[in-house]
Order: sequence, then structure tokens, then C-alpha cells
Amino acid sequence: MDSMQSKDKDIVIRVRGLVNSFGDNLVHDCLDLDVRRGEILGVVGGSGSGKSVLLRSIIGLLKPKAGTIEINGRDQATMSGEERQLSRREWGVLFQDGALFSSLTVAQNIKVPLREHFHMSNDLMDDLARSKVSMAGLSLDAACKFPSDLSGGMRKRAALARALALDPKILFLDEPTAGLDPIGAAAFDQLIRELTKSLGITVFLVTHDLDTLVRVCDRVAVLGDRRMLITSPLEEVMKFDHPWVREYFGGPRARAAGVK
Amino acid sequence: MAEIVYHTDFICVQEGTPSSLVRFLGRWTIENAQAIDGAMAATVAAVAQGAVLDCTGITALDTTGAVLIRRFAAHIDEAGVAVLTGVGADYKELLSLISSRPPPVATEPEHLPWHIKPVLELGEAFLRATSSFARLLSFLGLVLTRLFGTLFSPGRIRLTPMVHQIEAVGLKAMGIVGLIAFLIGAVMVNQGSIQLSKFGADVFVIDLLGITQLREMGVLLTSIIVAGRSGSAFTAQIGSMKLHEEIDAMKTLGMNPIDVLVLPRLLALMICLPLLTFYADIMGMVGGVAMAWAQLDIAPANFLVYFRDVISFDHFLVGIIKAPFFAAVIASCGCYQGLRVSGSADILGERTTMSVVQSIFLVIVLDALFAIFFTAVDL
Repeated sequence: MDSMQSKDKDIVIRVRGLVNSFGDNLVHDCLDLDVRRGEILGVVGGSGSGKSVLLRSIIGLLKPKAGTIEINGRDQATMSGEERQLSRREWGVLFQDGALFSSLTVAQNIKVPLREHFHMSNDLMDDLARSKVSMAGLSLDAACKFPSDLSGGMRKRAALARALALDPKILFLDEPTAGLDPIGAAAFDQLIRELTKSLGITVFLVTHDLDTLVRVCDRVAVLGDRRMLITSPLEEVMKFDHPWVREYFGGPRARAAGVK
Repeated sequence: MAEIVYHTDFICVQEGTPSSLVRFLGRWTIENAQAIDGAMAATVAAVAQGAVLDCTGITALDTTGAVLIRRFAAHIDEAGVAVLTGVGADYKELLSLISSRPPPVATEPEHLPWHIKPVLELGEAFLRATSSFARLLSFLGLVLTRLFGTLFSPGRIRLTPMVHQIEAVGLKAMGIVGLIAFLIGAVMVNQGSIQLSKFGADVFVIDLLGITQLREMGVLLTSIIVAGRSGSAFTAQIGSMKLHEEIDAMKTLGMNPIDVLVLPRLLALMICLPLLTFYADIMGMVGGVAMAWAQLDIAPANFLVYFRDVISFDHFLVGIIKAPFFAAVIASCGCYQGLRVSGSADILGERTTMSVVQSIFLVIVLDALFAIFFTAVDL
């Protein structure tokens, strides 16, 4: 009983019986998923398998048809508006194209959540924004640039800095390396790994990128046939007997990524 | 026991020699950032020359807390020497991540002094306006060359999008154009008759309505509605395509954006605006007839007989002949501003506003030129 409870405490995100559908198209059917504290979980699946839909329902942008989503033991569906507002502070989300506010500079983008949730002196906010910018591996002169003046990789880093603005406990990343060149993608992978490990953040990462899976993730969850096929460390996932998994991890690109 | 000089929930300053001891306590996280930051000035003041910063009392630390520790250290350093001790193993990595102090670069875009700004903006606005007008003219030239080019290769005209545009800018505008023309016609008779009846000349309200509606109001109001309705839509459609690099994709596929996007819209509007003007003229008359009947007891049949006698066909021609020119101005402004969109969604909104303002302005200027022209040729 006691060990059961301590195990429960270790689970940050718990999804049970999730059902999502658009019209007649059933995307998720009774999907279960656990994300443990401090781990980096990579979610993979073919195009259209509902990875982004899963992410969007966990972060509350999409109301599921059925099922429960608990974050830190609290059911997201039964929370009051104020509780939800408070719990939002504990997550950061990195959207696929960054979703930086285009009319604000990078530093102002980082200050938006600070301003929204706290009352800080401008000086402190500036300092925090600059620290986040350099934490995300951007040069400081990027701080006063507008998102449209940045390259794709820099935009991703700026968006990561904004996602980290409130010192979240959980970080959601939607295809963090999509659209980056291999060098930029590898650097971004390393940044995510180092940063989240040193900050002790739990990461929920949706990706297509095999390199990211190999280098960053502690566990891999495979989405297929409208549910989680397997959630395990990479070695075990590769041994899993399912046509899509075999093709994904046995293909030429997988070999190139160093998956044996 | 050393004397406690300053004390809050998060900071405790003890006096000592050679330097004071500053103990950090409790949860140094983003929730408490404001309280901790607020205590900085008092802490620095309480520390005479240098201090040992003791972190053993910290129970929770995040990046914000680490930044705060760095700020304290930096501020105390200015007074004397700050030494950091007692950093827990859990926090070492975090502090080293934050430890190097970033130089104070600007995080906001640059601001100009208030007295320079309006002058600079005025100058920029003037330069922008002139160059924008010049570019619009050259765009118009480009469109016209492509348009005349289609005379020799009519296959370049894309019929399907053109018909679609005719539906969007013509057919679907009939409701609003008709309603407004009807109301304006009615209001004109209503107001005109009140004034003219003072001279016992209220029957001349029919001349008033016929001349103003056919020559000016019909075509002008229709153009303004269409500029607001379709000109802005052209900018938004083409602008969002530009933002998504669809225009560039089109060029690489060997399609000319002028042919594909601009000409169908231009031709559709040039076909629709005269028709809409004709329709607006009729609706204005209907409004006038209704109001004259209700207010002045002029039966519709009498109204129309009188109307036929006093209003010559020239008035109608003067109005309708302007319509295709106005249409060309509205369509080219809309498409031109759409193609000028670049960068962010902000610019799209800006350009849409600009396209409506510019096209209405140019329509009215053109109308004034037409008025001078028609007076000169006695029409």
C-alpha cells in the first residue's frame, strides 16, 4: 500500500481512458499514459496518429470526449478557473513554430507570463528575461529583436526561454527539432537535455525525430491504433513486436540515427 | 551572539567582523521573488563592507531564486566583497547555470525623445506616402501591361477564379449596396423636401434626387462600400498568402501572381462595380419614390413621368462611366497592399487598413478630377 502511494506520487501526468474524436474520426480510444517525475518522455507515432491532439488535450486546449487527465494528482476537468490559472504556472509549452508574439521583442515575450502572473519590478523582470535568454543559448543581442528578425533555430530557443519563464515543473515540447538543420537540431536536443536535467523538469516531448529519441528521451511512448502501444525505455520499445514500430525503428533513417 | 541588523522571512543579516553574515532563508522561488527583491535595498544598506552570503537556509530554489542570489551578490559586491557559501549540492548546478551575470543590454525596442519623435514620424510618413504612391502607380502600370497582354493571349485569363470573385464582390454585395442606396435616396428626398418646401418648390426634390444620385452619390457610395468590403478582403487574402510563402511557391511553379491573383480580382471588380452602380441608382430611386409618396403625396407614376422629363440620360452616363475607373483603383490598391505584406500578422492588419484608406481617398480624388473634366466638356 505504502509503495503504491509513493509510486503514485512519482507520476506527474496520468491519463486514463482518454477518448478524442473529430466527427466520425476516432483519434484516441481509451488511451492510458503515465509520465513520471523528472523523466523526459518522448511520444512518437505516424503522421495523423494523434500526437499533437494528445498534447493539446493534456494542456487543456482541447476538451476530450471522455477520460480523465490528472496533472500532479489533480483532475483537470474538475478544476475551478482560479485553480486552473494557478496550475498553468507549473507548465511551460513550446509550440511547434514557437508561437512567439510577433509584435513583442524576445525579452518582452519572456516578460509576458511574468507580468501576467506576478507583480515584479521592471528591473528584476529585465534581469530574469536576460538570464532566460542566455540559458536558452541565445546571444544577448537577440533579446531586443523581434521574432521576425530571428532564424528558425533562434526562434525555437526564444520560445523555449519563454516556456521556462515561470520556472515550470513540467515542459511540453511539440516537435522541438522540426524545421531545424541537423546541427541546430543536435544542439537544441542537447540544450533540452542539459537544461531540463539541471532544472529537474519533467518533459513531455512529441517528436518525429529519431535522433531526439536516442539522445534526449528517458522513455519512449509509441502512439498507434488510437492508443499507447508501449511506454518503455528505447531498447525495450525496439524489441516490441508491432509492424509500425518495426518499420520505424528498423528503417534506414533509424540506422543512420545510431539505433542498432 | 552576533547582533541581528535586518530580518525578513527570507533574509537575516547578522553583524560581524570583518564582514557581516547574510543568511538566505526559506523558499527562494518565483512566488516569493517580489518580496525578496523588495528587501534588497535594505539588505545592501545593512551590510557595511562586504558580507558572507550563506545559502544553507534555503529550502527551495529555482532559476528565479538563482537570479536573485546573483543580484544580491552583485549589489553587495559593489559595497565590498560578497562571498557565497553553503550552497547545497542540489543547487550547485542551477547556480552555475545562472552565475555569470549577463551584461545589461536593452530588452525593449529603442525609444526616441518625445520632441524628436513627431518630427521624425512626420518626415517618415511623408516619404512613405510619396514612395507608396509612386509604387502604386508602377504596380498599376504592371497590371495594365499584363492586362493588355491578355488581349493577345486570352488563355491567360483565369475564368473560374474570376467568376468566383464576381460572386463574392458583386452578387454578395447586393444586399448592403441596395439597402444603403435605398436609405440614402429616401433621406435625400426627406431632407430636400423640407428645405425646398420653404420656397414652395418641393417638386424639385425629384431633380435633386435624380441628379445627385445618378451623377455622384450612387457610384461614390457603392465604391466606398466595395472598397471597405472587397478591397480589404483582397488585401487580407493576398497578404495571408504572402505570409505563408504561397506567392513565392506560385512563382517557382511558373505562375505569375499578377495573372493568377490580381487580374481575376481586377476584372471581376471592373465588371461588377458598374452593375452595382446601376443597381444602386435604381434602389436610390425606389427609396426616393417611396419617400416622396409617403411625405409629399406624389404618386409613383407621377414621380416617374416627371423624372423622365427632367433627368437626361447624360446624368446616368456621367455616373456609370466612372465606375470601372473606381473599380480599377480599388482592386489595384487592395491587391497591391496585399502583395506588400511581409513579416508578421501585425503588418497584415496595417496593410488592410491602408488599402481601404488609400482606395477611398483615391476614389474621391478621381471623382473630383472627373467632375472638373465633365464640367469642361459640358456634360
